[in-house]
Amino acid sequence: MTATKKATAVKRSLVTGACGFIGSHVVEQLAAAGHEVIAADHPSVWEGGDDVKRGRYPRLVSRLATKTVSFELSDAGSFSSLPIDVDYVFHVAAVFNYTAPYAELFRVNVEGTRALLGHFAKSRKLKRWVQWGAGGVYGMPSTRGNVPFFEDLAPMPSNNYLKSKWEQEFMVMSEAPKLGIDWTIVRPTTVYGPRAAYGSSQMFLGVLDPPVVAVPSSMTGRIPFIHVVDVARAAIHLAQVKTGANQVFNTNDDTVMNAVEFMQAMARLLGKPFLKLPPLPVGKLIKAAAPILDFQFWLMRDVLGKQPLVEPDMLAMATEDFVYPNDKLKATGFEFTYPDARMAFAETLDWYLNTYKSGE
Amino acid sequence: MGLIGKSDFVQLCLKNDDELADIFARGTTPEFAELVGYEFDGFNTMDLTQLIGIRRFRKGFLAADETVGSQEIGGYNVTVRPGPPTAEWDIVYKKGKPHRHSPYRVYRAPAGDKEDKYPQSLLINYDCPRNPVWNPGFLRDYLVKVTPTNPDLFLGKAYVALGSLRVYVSYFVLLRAEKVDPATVWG
Repeated sequence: MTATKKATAVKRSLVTGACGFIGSHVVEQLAAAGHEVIAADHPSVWEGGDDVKRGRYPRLVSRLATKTVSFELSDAGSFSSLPIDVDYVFHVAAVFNYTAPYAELFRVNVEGTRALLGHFAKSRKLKRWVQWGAGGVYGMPSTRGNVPFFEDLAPMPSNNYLKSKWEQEFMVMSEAPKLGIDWTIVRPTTVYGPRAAYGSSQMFLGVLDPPVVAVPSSMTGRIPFIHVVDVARAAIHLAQVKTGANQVFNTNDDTVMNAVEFMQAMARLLGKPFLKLPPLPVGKLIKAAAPILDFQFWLMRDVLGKQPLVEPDMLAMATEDFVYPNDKLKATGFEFTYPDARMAFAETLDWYLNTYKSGE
Repeated sequence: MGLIGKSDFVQLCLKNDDELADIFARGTTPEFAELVGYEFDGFNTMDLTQLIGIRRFRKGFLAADETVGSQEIGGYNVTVRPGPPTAEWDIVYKKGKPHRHSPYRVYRAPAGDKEDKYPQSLLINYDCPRNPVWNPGFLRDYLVKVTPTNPDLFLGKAYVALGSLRVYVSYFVLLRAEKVDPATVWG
């Protein structure tokens, strides 16, 4: 009797995109919290070993998860491998790429998620669908009057990737209630931490090799941060509290730090000289260089089929001043492991220096 | 020193002057007993110090001799190679001993005195005639304890004395490193 009770008390969670940067941390945090974890990812991901350069961790996740399954978000026929008798779905899987064409982003991120949601409509056990959104859906602060990005601000995504993420969110908000599924949307800002190979990784990798860290003093726009462990913990917390149901949450820590201060912190942590350069109109320079940036983007992506050296959409964020209030998240009782990003910059840099660089 | 202490130290080392000013203002006066007999790892937050090789250092504190009484203690700096706040402090040795230099006096600046800038702090005054002439007598540091509950973490604010002027130079952070035997410091 006791054993039966104990068995039924174990929570069962399914994580899509389980082998990626964020997914692997969600699996890790769920396992640590005693959940039975079903880790789902693309078949090709399970075939290889852990790959720090591509941000894929099938071996690590296999060790942590109770069960691993293959599925393809863009192929509803593959969903039969996904068990529906789960308490929570953490839907992390998506095409996360500022370079991908919109048609692909829409097909996978929006239509794939719509089909996946439909697959779980038959579940009698599902308590919450946790949807990974993106903090970037609000758009660029400079085009929104530089107001803080509270959750009730209407999204105005500035590029194809973020447009697909907002459409994905909107679809979940609209469709899940019709299917009787409670949902929670997390909108992480700049997610950093060990295992990131895209997005925030560029900020850390960019300072490793130059002998001097230099930045124009005009780069005073604030950068929002959230450690990947806190993103995972926040999602798990929100899935399990009533106040998290059918709500959107900015997932952002308390750090107040601009680009100059970030570079200064990097210089100090690396023991390198820091140079604050004279103010430069960086935003205008990026705009002026747009034809060159767009050309290399086209050449790399469409002609050579490679990742562009510089992604104009990502670069555009470098001059913006982002403010994401997190009061709504805190009001649910969530407490950050890393409320200030400075607490974890050192370990993150250490990971890039000792693990990523060596390609282990 | 545990990881938590080191983590707090590193966080302070990464803060900007405005944030450090706020922490300094809320700091409390260190007790002599918390300092005497120990060396502390130090990190200057002014970025120029990286270029001129004095980003990292150590500070030691010693009981003053009997002629001074209980209102004052002494101390010295130790040369350390530049580097990040997360790495081991790489102490510079001379003739087989840590390179200790720049002795100073530590006391509460008398109220109304020209050095009485921060009543919540201890003054580290390098202008001490009884010490060798090569000591950098133009330096004045003010030291506070960051939180009353952590006896290992201190925040300092360094000034240069130019006549009656006091020019701010840098904040510095101190973390307790190791006990020292006073008999071996200058010997």
